[in-house]
Amino acid sequence: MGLKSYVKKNAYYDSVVLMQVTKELKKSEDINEVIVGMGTALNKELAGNLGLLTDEVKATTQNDFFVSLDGEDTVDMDEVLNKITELLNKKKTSGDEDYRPATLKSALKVMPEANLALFSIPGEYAYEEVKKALDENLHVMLFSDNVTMDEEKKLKDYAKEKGLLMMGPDCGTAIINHTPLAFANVIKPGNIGIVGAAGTGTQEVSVLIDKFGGGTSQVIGTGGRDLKEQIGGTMMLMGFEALEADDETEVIVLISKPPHESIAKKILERVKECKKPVVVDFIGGDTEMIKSYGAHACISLEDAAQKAVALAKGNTPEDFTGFSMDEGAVDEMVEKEVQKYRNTQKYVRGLYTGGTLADEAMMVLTESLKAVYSNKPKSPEFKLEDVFKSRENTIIDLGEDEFTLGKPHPMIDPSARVERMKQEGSDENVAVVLMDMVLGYGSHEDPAGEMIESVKEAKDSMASKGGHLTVVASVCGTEGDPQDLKATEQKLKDAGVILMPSNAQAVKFVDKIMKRIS
Amino acid sequence: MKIELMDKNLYVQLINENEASFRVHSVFNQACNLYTSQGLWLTLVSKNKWLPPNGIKLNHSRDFRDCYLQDELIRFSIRDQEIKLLNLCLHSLEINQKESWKNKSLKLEYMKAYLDLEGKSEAIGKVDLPKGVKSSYHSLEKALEENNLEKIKIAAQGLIGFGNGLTPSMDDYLTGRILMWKTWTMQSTAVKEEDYSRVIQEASKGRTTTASEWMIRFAAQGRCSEEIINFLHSYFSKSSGSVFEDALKEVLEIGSTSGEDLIYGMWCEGMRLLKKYEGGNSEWD
Amino acid sequence: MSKINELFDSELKVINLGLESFSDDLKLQKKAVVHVEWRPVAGGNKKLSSILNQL
Repeated sequence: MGLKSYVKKNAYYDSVVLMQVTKELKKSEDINEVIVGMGTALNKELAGNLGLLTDEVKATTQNDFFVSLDGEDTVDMDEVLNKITELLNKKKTSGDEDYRPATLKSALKVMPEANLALFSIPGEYAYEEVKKALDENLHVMLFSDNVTMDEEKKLKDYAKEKGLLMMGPDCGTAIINHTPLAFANVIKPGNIGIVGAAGTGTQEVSVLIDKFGGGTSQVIGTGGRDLKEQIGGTMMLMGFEALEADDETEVIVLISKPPHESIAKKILERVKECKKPVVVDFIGGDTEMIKSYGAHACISLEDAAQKAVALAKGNTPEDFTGFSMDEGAVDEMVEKEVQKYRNTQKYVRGLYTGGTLADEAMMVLTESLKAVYSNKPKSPEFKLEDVFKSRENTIIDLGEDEFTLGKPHPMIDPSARVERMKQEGSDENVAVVLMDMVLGYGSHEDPAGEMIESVKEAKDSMASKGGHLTVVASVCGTEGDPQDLKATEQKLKDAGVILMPSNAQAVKFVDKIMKRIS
Repeated sequence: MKIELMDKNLYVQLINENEASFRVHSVFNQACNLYTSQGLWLTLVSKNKWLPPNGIKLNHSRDFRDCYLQDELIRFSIRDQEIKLLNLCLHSLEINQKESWKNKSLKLEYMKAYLDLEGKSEAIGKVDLPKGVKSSYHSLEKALEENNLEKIKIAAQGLIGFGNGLTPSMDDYLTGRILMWKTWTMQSTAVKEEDYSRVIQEASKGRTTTASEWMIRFAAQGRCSEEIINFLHSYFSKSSGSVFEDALKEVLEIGSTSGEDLIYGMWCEGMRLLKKYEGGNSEWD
Repeated sequence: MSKINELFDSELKVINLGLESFSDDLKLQKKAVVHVEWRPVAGGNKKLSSILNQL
């Protein structure tokens, strides 16, 4: 048996260090008995009872620290002791650098100047916790969903009373004071302000603004349900007013799925009074109505970005309907793909991680294809019976609940899409797979890297049957994002993916292919 | 040295004694214990920490181990600064709306249930005590029932200094008992017992670490740190469930098991007092 | 000036409750953030929360 002890006179270690020492000692099963403590009479008595009272421990007094342990012959006691002394003498122990308060109140003690609380806690607890933050006059971003509509209304009304931002629930994207929050990209600073009720829609517009040479002042999220009748567009209006009063903002962009008509009117009435130019994208909504209030309507998220940048530069915005490259060249690309298909290949499968981007795809493709199945279809007759099995033309939003129960969102963990890609590739009726690739903070560190194996596998599978699988994607990311944009694009191209500069163009390209096939 | 907040008691003492030089006793990441030539004990804490008794909160959160060395002599003056003072005496607890008897009972139930669920296995409430300590533990309970100060002192002598941590677990437990007793008797005239905190303080002399001796001494004076005062306030006041729980969580964060042992001690004493003076006083309702 | 416009004119200082990755991302960008180790009320335990609810 090996009995060893370590004593340090007049030594005081804090609980973090002692916990690490205890943890280290518990690692080895061959350590039979151990005592860690100060040399008080009772601790020494305990050491004695455990057979751990060495002479040096006996000689300690209550302000001396000791460790005494007994282990099997298999344990190198000297090594164990070395590890312990190392831990005790380590200047910085990891994890104790940042104090982690247990509650919001104590966080405010640490940072009394805090001005925003970002919540990503389970939805069932969100209402109570968020209310506390609003009570403390903090602006709030609530990433969580599973908050009732009633709770959302109460929180937003309370926030409005206090003049505070209440971004969410279900708000995934915001960029405040040029700081990306939750899932957001790094966008060049500029004079375009955005209020978005659609997460990846906001990301796409902000990314394209950056791409077209513009920049953002503030990007405010409202959460997906803000423009529903029950909520009434409270946050969109508050955000809008703040941007109107903001000196840095010269152009305002509003993004949302088509709101309830009365809400749309309410928003547009307010927009009408605004002296700054306003671009309104009610994705697929009534463009004539928007124009009638003096705002600029949009045909796609990309179009919204183009118009915003044009206005920001003091130019006249024009509809952007086509492609960045020469249409003739696009048609050639279409032809090249179509020629390689087997005659069984006739369908498109859209595998999306971003909800709004999936919506945009569905919007465009439904016009030509009519029947587009989905887990969240435009009309109920096209709801997939089994969301895990595509049917004919299908666009899926992998970020929806049915796919994320107990699993991280696909923007964080691409594995759900990896599996689905292989599945689609083995279906000989599929001609095209369409996908998004969202970068920025919050997203996986290398989403392209995670996908390329399955892309290649899917393509090979189709090739082995004598056909050809077209994979089309767009990357929603900027040079400033933590992922490497260039490397991402290159990886995808090397895997045979056709990259388009925006989701809108990717979808239009696919649309051309589908028209050619039929 | 820019001071953000200070224990009022300490301020008065330092101002009167015009103390300016202090010996460093021990240094930690976010705290540092000092003592004066007169034997006065005080603690510097970073702005991230709650204020302890005889505490001085500085307005930075740099690692104190980069700033101070054990045994070095440091000098600073509190005279030339405008300092915010905090009263850490239980006497200063202003209970505007007293909690009902029923709710105090519920809160105790909650404390115990929370410890049972979330508590560490090394904490006093869960750990297997060695024979001698266990015997003293039960002797103490009996002695407290009888309010026999001599027996309380003897029992305490068999407990103080036991357990791990800079403030050994049993010391934290005893401190919890003392603080609950003191607050309870301040809030109610129903308790007809002699204050036993002094004998526990006497029992602690030479039996435990210096830091722990001072913790017990402060408790005997009816003084404790900010988060414990907040907890006691939320216990004795009409408070919502979530406010009470948040206050509980903050105390549980202390040390590794210190907070738990403190709460366990408070629970034991609260249960004893509730049972003994149960239904006796209409003041509670 | 509205509180929102005041926010636009100040340095953003965030308290993050929930996903640690959000705090990590803010730290990566050298932004001021305090992370709260948020735990549900009563540890998410039904018995505990039923006691609390009675208070």
